[in-house]
Amino acid sequence: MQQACLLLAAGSALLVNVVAQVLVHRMALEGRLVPTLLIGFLSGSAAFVLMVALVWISFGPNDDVPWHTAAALLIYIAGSFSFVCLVAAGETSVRVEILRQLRSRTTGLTLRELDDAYRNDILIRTRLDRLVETHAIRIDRGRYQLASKPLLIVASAFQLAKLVLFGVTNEFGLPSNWQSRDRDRTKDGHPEVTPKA
Amino acid sequence: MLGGSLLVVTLSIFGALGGSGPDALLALALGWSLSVAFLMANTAIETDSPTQSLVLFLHAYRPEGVTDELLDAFIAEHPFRDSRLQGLVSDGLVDRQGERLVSRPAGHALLHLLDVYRQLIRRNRVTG
Repeated sequence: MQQACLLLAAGSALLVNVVAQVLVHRMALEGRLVPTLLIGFLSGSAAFVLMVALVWISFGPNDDVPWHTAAALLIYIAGSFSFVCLVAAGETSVRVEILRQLRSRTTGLTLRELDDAYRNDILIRTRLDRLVETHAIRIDRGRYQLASKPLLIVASAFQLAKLVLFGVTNEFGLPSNWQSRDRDRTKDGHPEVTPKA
Repeated sequence: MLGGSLLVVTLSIFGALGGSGPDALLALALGWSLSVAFLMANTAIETDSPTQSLVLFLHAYRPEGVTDELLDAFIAEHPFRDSRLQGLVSDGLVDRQGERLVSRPAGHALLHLLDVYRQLIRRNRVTG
């Protein structure tokens, strides 16, 4: 019974998380997804702590309760993480956007029609514009410059995880140092020679 | 997920979980939650995020910065759209009917779920 109550606590906390995020976004912080997700998670966590305290009081101290609570906490955290991933997918996922474009016509789209609506350069430039808009990138004398340290840390962490788990740094089979490779080469592909002093 | 569920049921039958139904239920719920979270994280790590790739690209060109020509080269070397379209076809979410690409019912269901959520939070910002 104690397990079922803690499972219920995790499920209810997840529900509080989602409902709080939706309400705060609708009523107070429209357009600000990240703060509302954080508020939702904190609200759910508070609800979880409250319900776990009630379970501990109801069932009294026993050897199993810490383990059961830890399991319920992991369920809540995993559920919250999945919710954030789902929200992120709805906002920026390329796969979801392709599905949206295909859904726009009942007969689907040809590749050419899809190109007109959602080409590779459109999706990358949309992101670039978004980063410029949020000041993560600034334009200095016609050149794009990265201005956000937190974004770089997140991107580097994902790249490291990819290297550890899959042994690659990108999905396109590009050399890991392809950017600097290109930068250090002349237009005809030969390594740039720095003139000696 | 199925393997994990089978393990929990087996452990429960052979008494490793004390033969307790509620313990098995908690273990199953934990296994499923972690599996879904792992699936989400794995997808995010396995495929390149266009935004993160762009960030790393700009970082690689500091302090000079990136010109539009360099950006065009980056776009040409990173066919995100085609890679994801291929993934959708492989996963059975998109069907090729002659020359046309058509979203399948599973794809519609996913979009419906996301659209309901976006309506709930009154989100109207452009996606993609």
